[in-house]
Amino acid sequence: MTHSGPSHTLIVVLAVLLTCATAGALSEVPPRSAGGQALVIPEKHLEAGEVYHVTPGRGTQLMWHGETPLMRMTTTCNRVVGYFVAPFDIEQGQTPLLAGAFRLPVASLSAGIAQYDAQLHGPQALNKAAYPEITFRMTGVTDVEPTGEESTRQSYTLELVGELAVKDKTVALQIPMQLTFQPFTWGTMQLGMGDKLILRGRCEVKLADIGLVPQQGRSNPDMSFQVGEFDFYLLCSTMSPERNLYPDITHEQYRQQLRFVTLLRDFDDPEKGYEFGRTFMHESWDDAKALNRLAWAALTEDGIKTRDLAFALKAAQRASELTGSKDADILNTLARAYYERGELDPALKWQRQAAEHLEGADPQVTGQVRSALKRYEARVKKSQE
Amino acid sequence: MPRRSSSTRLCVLRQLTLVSLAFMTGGSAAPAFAQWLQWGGPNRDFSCDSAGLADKWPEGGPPTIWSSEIGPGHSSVVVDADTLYTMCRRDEKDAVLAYNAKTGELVWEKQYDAPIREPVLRGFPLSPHSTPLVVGERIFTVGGMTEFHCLNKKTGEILWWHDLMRELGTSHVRRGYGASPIAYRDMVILNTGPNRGQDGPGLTAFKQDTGEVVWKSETFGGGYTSPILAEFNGEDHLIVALGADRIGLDPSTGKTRWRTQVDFQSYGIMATPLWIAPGKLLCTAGYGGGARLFKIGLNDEGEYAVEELWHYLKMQVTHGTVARIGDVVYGCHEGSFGPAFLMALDLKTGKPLWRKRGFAKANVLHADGRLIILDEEGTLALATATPEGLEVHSKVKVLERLSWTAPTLVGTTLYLRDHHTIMALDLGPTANQ
Repeated sequence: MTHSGPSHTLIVVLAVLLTCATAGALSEVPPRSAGGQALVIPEKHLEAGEVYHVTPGRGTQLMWHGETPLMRMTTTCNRVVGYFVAPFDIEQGQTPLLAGAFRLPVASLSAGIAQYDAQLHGPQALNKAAYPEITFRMTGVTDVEPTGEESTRQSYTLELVGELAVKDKTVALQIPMQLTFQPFTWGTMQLGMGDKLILRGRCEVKLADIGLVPQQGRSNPDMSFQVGEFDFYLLCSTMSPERNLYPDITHEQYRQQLRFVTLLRDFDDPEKGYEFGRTFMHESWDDAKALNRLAWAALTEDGIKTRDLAFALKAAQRASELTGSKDADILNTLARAYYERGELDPALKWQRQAAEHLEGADPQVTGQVRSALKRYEARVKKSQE
Repeated sequence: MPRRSSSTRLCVLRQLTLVSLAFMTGGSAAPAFAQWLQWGGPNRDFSCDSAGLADKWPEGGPPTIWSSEIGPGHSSVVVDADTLYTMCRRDEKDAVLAYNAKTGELVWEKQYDAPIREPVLRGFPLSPHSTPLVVGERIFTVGGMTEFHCLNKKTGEILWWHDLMRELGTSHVRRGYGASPIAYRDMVILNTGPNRGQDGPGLTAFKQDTGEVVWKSETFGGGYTSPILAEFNGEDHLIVALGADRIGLDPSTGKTRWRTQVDFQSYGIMATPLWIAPGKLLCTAGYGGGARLFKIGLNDEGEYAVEELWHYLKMQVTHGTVARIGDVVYGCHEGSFGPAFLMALDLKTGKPLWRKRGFAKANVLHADGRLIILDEEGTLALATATPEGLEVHSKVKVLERLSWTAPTLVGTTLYLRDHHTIMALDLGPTANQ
């Protein structure tokens, strides 16, 4: 039995995702905020009601299925950024949703197969270099039906009307959705603070309508889907993803940190990301905590594909220098930078030093330092065998 | 059976309310020795009878009378004639501070050891949160780790003290003890509740002169909410909100007079209850709690009964202050770290009248027909609040985040602090210029 393997399949699949030259107006979706993890909410929407920010990074927010007799593909995204507006107090008969929009970086769409993802993001398909984001703008709702009220939770079904913009194409959508308002409870706290709004729906989109059509002569009908099914699960919160709760971090530093991570992780743009990071590092050259956060993000943030270990080491070294090599949290980062570079001796040296400065440290830092020390010791021991 | 009021009822409260009768000789209506001797001001409700506030401030803000260094702490300022008192953290010690209220000069500072008592939640300063209480020649303070002191207000000498956690099992609720003491007759009364699930007096009364325990209440869990005193049905009531309990006690004995429980979501209450004479109580809680209005009454058997009149979920004041003007209460909704809204709530209906963005989580203070607003970013504002809306006359950044300390107004002098700076601002007519 022969097995075509993922690469063959992907090449075929991507062959169907070619650009359409038809131009179309992009929806007017608000730009990203300075940190990149929320949108700039228009004043009229702030006045209109409660704003629920889409919460990126919490599970799968968007699935995009394509299916043919010979194959089935699912592409997912968990970096959707956006907002929806609801009345502060929803009266009977009132529409529960007043406005909304979201953006998602093309680079964050992934089927979990590197080659497929590269082709999907590439110039022959979604072309992330020219069109880095897909956007959606709500234009209205229809067919609103309350479906129940349980304690303080309110649910509705409705059809969300809006425009999806992919590359230079815009398509009108009408998405049947379930909508649930879940005020904050001690039980929902594990999902973050703030009141919640959950939007769930699915719709089909003809790929041709969003500028993705099979390339003539290269498509296999049994492996070239014409229709994609979009499945949305948007957990939204009144607490912005950019809300800085930490008193020892300035809002500007917090936004810069988010922007750095957004460029690297969500947009997979190491060039812009590390350029921004170097500027941030320069501006924070005398701020050990800011440098430490920068280095730690570069080393450990999930989803960053390109890790500049020299960049991280430089930030961590400076942070350690500023604190006299006595801060356990910073030493833990410095050791991690060496460890990721494969320099086990300095990694172990600094991790041991971190363990010697745990007095008064946050319990979470203490746990991290001790577990990392065990890991490094084991790794060194193994390397010596 | 309820008894009639005595002549000594709420005498200490009145002492605090009735500011010195000495008035300035220069013809100004402002009292020379106006005072703010306890958390929340004369009536513990963040409303005061100051007059003569400027209509608006210069672009740079109201004139600074003085500004001085201070350490971390949320403890607010109390003012007794020419001296103000507050607390802060100094490394592993707590400090009680006395400043000259007119110049900002430090008069005395009393430090005492206050090592961190695990388990605590770090991330926010574990500095003193509780506001001192001045009665007569004494000042009463509680530090974040539950050390309760009585000091000579002139010298800072410690007259007596208690370790509440060790002696009574008092919880510091992991972020540091936060309730402020209250005086009643010759007693000072404190929250002393234990951690949830443990036994220990919810409140305890101490003799002001000796520190001797006068009474201990039944068990209520520890909490941040400061108790208040109110008169109802010819009796004095000590009212406090602890966990899910909303409680009225006899302040003479600590016996529970009435008690009701709300849903668990309001367990994290921190804001001070607001008494609305003749028999209503407003409690607001953050973290999904919301605002509730209770009616305190008597049932057919002549026993106290509590009825919840309404519950409005979207006015969640976490640890800020609210102010009542007529039938409207004004405060800052801070929905479990969502956006902050200054808002007005109709006490008759429990419905919002308006809400306004533009401030971070804020404390409010009512005086002279104005609302003084201080948000956690250190932005200070002067506004007029009516049932129709909020008109902001002036707005200026004066402090750094997190400015959680409630402002203090004595005459036309406003006292503010954050974790670095304490200051006095002139809100009087000169601020117009």
